[in-house]
Amino acid sequence: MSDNSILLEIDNITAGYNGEVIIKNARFNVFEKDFIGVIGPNGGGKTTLIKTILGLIKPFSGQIKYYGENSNDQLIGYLPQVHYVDKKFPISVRDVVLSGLMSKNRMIKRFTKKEKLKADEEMEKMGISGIRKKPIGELSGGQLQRTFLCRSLISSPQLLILDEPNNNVDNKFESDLYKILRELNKTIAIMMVSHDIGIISTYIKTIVCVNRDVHYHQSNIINEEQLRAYNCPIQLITHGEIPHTVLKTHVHDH
Amino acid sequence: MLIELFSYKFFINAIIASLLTSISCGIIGTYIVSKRIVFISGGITHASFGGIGLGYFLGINPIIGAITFSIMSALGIEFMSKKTDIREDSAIAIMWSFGMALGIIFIFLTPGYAPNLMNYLFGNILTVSRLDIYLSLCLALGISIFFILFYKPIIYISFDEEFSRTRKIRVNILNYILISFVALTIVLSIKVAGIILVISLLTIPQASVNLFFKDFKKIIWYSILVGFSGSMGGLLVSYYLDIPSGAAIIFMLVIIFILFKIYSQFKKSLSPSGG
Ligand SMILES: Nc1ncnc2c1ncn2[C@@H]1O[C@H](COP(=O)(O)OP(=O)(O)OP(=O)(O)O)[C@@H](O)[C@H]1O
Ligand SMILES: [Mg+2]
Repeated sequence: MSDNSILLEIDNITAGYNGEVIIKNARFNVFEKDFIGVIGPNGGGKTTLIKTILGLIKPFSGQIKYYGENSNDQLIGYLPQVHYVDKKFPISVRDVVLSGLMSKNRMIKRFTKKEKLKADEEMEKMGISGIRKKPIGELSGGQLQRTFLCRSLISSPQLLILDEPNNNVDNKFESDLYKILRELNKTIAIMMVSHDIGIISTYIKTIVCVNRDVHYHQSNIINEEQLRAYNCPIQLITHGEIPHTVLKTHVHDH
Repeated sequence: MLIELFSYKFFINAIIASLLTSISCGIIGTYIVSKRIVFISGGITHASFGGIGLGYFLGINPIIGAITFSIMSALGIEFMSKKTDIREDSAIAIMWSFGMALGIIFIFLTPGYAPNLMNYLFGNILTVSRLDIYLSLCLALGISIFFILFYKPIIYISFDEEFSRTRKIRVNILNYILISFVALTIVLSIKVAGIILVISLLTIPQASVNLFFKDFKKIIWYSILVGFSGSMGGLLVSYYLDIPSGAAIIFMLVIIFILFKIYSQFKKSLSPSGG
């Protein structure tokens, strides 16, 4: 149970593509200040789950209820899995960041001075204000992720969803990212897909295992046996000197 | 001698037509090049030939037929690739060849001779009519207003459609409107460069400008400039050398591209970091 108020209620969702079921039995709630790690094998349906939550895919059955103070389209900030964008597209860093402010009811309206300041502020925080006029084609992988992170945060969402933000980026970005997320998590909820959940096990509070079946695990501690029970055969990756034992070998009462 | 040219009505019409076409093609071309839908545009272009054939067959203005066919094929491609599991490139290929086939059949069935057929295939800007100019004017105005009003959502959905959907931008309706503008721009540019060459009016200026500028708005502005200069140059060359205007215009545009390319290489080799 959580003391925080509820943001999302995912009520027995079944979803997929072209009639083919990819994920089923998704049933959990997201509360304020949650930090949910989403794990599962490649092709298990992690991205599908997230797209369903974002409303990009209509579920076959079940429903998602959105709570929170913000209207629906401002509730969630989204950082997609990186490789889908066209880096040759003629758009500047600043414009990408500002695009996070779009919503249903502001197709025409110009950005206000306040909104532009907010964009500058976000870029400053993320350490990319020096490149804000650059076309995105000239950025490194890490700079691009920082740009997209700004885009997902500029609307001040109550829930931030990140799909493998640590793929294909430098270590510097990765460690910065965890610092940023920890800071953000003091005020907003975070849901993050990651292959090496081991490294962030100290940040996350709960775990969702996705391998066609979706299981919600009410703790940041999970062992091999539980993963087997969830039918979630992931490698608990070990990372050099970073203590990650919470995930790998912790013995606790079942 | 040049002054004398300007006293000809057909020549003035050609200048107005190329200006209006450069505006529409500058904007729409930047959109299709940035979004990488040049192949879709090629499909729409060739599908419109079916409408030209139908126009001859029914004895109506072939441009009316072409407008109908191009918009229907544009919407058809957009619909087929988004809402069915037909691959987009297959959908395009089907429209492309089906339109051409229909056009050939209709023209074959039309009794007698199909006047001006060559103009539709290869373009002849010196034959633009008053109606063509009015249509081009409406189109250039419509596109400009649409892009000024919806500039932000247009570039955002072109850059990252899925993210735009999460922001609840009305992606589908914008895409259908944009692809219809693409179709109209193509058809109304056919008089300038012909079905066979028209796609280059929408891509060569952008490719040239893109060597120096990586900003959507700047690419639009300079593409209009490059497109218009190329059209003027081509028009004069075609007049003095007595060669088809469409081919002369494309020839000029390619020359501009090559010069720009050489200049950008040259600039790069001068800058300390470049190689
Ligand atoms: N647009 C789509 N149309 C049809 N099937 C899809 C589509 N996207 C994904 N799938 C299928 O759904 C399944 C789950 O994909 P999904 O992207 O959700 O997995 P994932 O857990 O995010 O994997 P990864 O770790 O590789 O990112 C895969 O079998 C995939 O082939
Ligand atoms: Mg994924």
